[in-house]
Amino acid sequence: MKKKAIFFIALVAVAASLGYWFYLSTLPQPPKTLYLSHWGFGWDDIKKIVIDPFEKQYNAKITLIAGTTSERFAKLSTKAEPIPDLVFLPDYYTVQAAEKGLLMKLDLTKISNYKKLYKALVDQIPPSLSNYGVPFTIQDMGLAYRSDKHPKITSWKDMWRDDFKGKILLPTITATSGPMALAMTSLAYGGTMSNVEPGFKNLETLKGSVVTFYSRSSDPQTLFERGEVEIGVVLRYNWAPLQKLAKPVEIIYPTEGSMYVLNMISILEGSKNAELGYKLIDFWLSTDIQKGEALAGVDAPVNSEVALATDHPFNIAPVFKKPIYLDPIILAKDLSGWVDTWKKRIET
Amino acid sequence: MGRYLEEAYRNLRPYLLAAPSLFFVIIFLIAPIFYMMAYTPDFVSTFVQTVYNQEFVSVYLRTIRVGATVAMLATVLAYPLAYYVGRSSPVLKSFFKTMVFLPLMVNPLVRSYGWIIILGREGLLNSMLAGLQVVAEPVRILYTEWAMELGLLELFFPFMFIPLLSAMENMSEEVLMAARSLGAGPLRIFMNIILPLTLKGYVVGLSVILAGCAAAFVTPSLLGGFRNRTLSMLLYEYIDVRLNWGAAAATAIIIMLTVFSVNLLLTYGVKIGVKAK
Amino acid sequence: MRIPFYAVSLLTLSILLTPIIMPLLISFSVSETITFPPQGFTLRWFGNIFNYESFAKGFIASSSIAFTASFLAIALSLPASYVLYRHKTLRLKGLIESLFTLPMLMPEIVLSYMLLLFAYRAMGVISALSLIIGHVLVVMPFGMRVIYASLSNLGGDIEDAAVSLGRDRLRAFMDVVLPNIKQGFVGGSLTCFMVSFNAVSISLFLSFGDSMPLPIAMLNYLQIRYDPTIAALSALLVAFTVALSFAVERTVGLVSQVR
Repeated sequence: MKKKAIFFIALVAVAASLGYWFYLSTLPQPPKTLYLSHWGFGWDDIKKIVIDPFEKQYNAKITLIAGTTSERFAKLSTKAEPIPDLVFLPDYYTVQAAEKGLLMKLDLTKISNYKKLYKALVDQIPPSLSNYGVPFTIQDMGLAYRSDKHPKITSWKDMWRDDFKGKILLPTITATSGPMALAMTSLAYGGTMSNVEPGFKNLETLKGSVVTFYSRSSDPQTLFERGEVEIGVVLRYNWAPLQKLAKPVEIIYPTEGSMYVLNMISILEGSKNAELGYKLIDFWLSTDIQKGEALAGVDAPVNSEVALATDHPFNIAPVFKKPIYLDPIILAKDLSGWVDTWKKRIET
Repeated sequence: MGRYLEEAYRNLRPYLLAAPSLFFVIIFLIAPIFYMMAYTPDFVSTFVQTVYNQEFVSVYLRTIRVGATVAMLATVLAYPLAYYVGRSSPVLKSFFKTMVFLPLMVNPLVRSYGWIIILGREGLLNSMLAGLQVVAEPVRILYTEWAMELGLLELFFPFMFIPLLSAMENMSEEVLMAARSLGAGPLRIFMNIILPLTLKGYVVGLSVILAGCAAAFVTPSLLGGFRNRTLSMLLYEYIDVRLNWGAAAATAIIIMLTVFSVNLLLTYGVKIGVKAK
Repeated sequence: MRIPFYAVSLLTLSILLTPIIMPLLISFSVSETITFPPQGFTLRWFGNIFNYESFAKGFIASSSIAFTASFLAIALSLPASYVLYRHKTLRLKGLIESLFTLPMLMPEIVLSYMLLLFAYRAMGVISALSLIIGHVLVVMPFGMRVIYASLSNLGGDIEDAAVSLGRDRLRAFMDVVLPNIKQGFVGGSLTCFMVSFNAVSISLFLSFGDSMPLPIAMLNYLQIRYDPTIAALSALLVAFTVALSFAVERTVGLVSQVR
């Protein structure tokens, strides 16, 4: 009886301590810890270039909460623990988060590097948005294709070419590039960003040829590498990984234009670390950091003082040749309608 | 008076013993179902809107299609295998019993990952097909319904195999020999002897497979992709991506109703079938 | 008769087993992407597992969750199975039985969503507690089944004998029944642990930030990278669960527990 009792008590003790450890790990950390809600993509490089230097300089600790845009947005909306201090979102999600009252109104004077950003980009941001998020990189859209297997492509409409049948990669509507792909198709076929019917119509003719609609950041690289697709819609963050592949992949801007959205950093309403948050944003926008990220192939710089070689892939000058900014306010408004229609007509 | 209390206590004791567990299930399983329905604003109209919808119907049909195909594939494989194994040595039986459960002990992520390596355009299967010169160009298997069905088949096979195996084990050799000596062909033997004996086990396996395919999430989403959504993938989408919790509630209810009715139907179907004999 | 047997066996076994072996083969491949056939030989992906903090944390999280959930589930299953076994003529028995089988019929993903709603709206916050409750619900039917079978094997006579010899019910239970179903106890706990450790869907909506279970950490990894680290981790997990299931076999013969 005694041995059993001891065993039982020991078991309970172990269970209790494990449980308690687990509980402790879920408690909010002491101050001077910043929680970032970010995609997590390229975090290895980001950690080296941005996070570690920042932590050292400001004696702070940064914890990453990773996930896709929609997952993190869902968690923001339900106030799932742990609640982040800073959140990284595409601009049209920033709009939605601001509308829900989730974001803190920013005092842009606290961000000294804001004035260094490209005027061409900043001026496009709708005023109602500019107080809730600060752009830290540009996500411009291009077409990637297997240059060893197909003749050159120049236009968005080249996706409809016969030699690409059955080998196309499109994003799902809820990925960042999803609405962009829809809007771009619409523009290429004579529609506008408000009237996307030509976009839907023409994507419907394409959908049989689409291998899959991706949602994960790493999908384009994976699918190109495995030979599953030979042409696809990609965003800037895919460029570096795609160019590293053993299979030759070329990325072009279609003649119809370079469509882009801006990725933004925002501070959450009610964050207890807002001051530290401002410092991180300013740090992230500084010339050195932006240049470091560009050279590592992580994020393209929006800081106009970053000097890159003209043929460097992350020199965003080519974007300005025919930039098309997808208005985030319109997009945020129309998105749920687009999603419903997309699900019915394209992705069933 | 004391004896009356003691008597009452003894009658109540089983209920008291079971009470904590019962409460746990009621509070955390039953209550949330009703909570979900009550909390959704305008539940009835949201429900109707979500369900009477071309997208929903096609997703639902696909889910049924997938479940039925997996069931069929499982039947085709499990029956002969159970027949042969059922009449083999205990060592062989034990071997198969263990093998058949191995996939269940492995994380669905790991399993699906393995299937991706097998079914990809440059994966194992396509390499074999090309090597044997059966096809000129790689075949697209991944991100289709077939890929999902294979993955689900691997997962649910034991639930069909094991009941059939027990039934086959119990089937006496003498009856079969007698039937054969009376001139019955294989088809007759199957219809009149094997089928009735194994029916109960078969139906159990069938219901597990159909219900399981409706409920499965990880395997279909990794192997089928967004083009081939099943009910549970749709549920996930409504919750995490489209943030439409009303539609999510409706979808959840439909999934539960489907699973329950499959179980009920098959259980009572068997009871009626058995009575009819 | 031999040839069809071999054919069907081969086909079935390859469908069942190849997907499990694949990650193991790929995990040694030198190439940074998942290609088949694997080329070269390296152990670096195994090492890389430890570079990614979430995996180590995920393993600990999954283990603690599985441990706690199994503990609670067994604690809840024991009285429940006992009642169902000993009091076969109880009124409401059918209802009680169905209530306890209910979690098995409930799809994990639906359960995860409902607990999310319940936790978020009713309790105002989502935390580790709801995650553990979810795992308990998923795992409890397995525990109950094993313990019930154990009790059946024991039979009620031994307990009645103890009672007739003068022990009261509680002592009879503790001195006579418990020691004899130890096997079922341990086997049930190990089964619960394994089911909880492998459960993915239940954690989908209930895990968060730092302490997410290992499968969710793996899913997140797949979002951003696609190298064989996942294959290496999968191989380790397979080894882990196979070892666990051998332990179950030794104590309780897993296969005989499933009808």
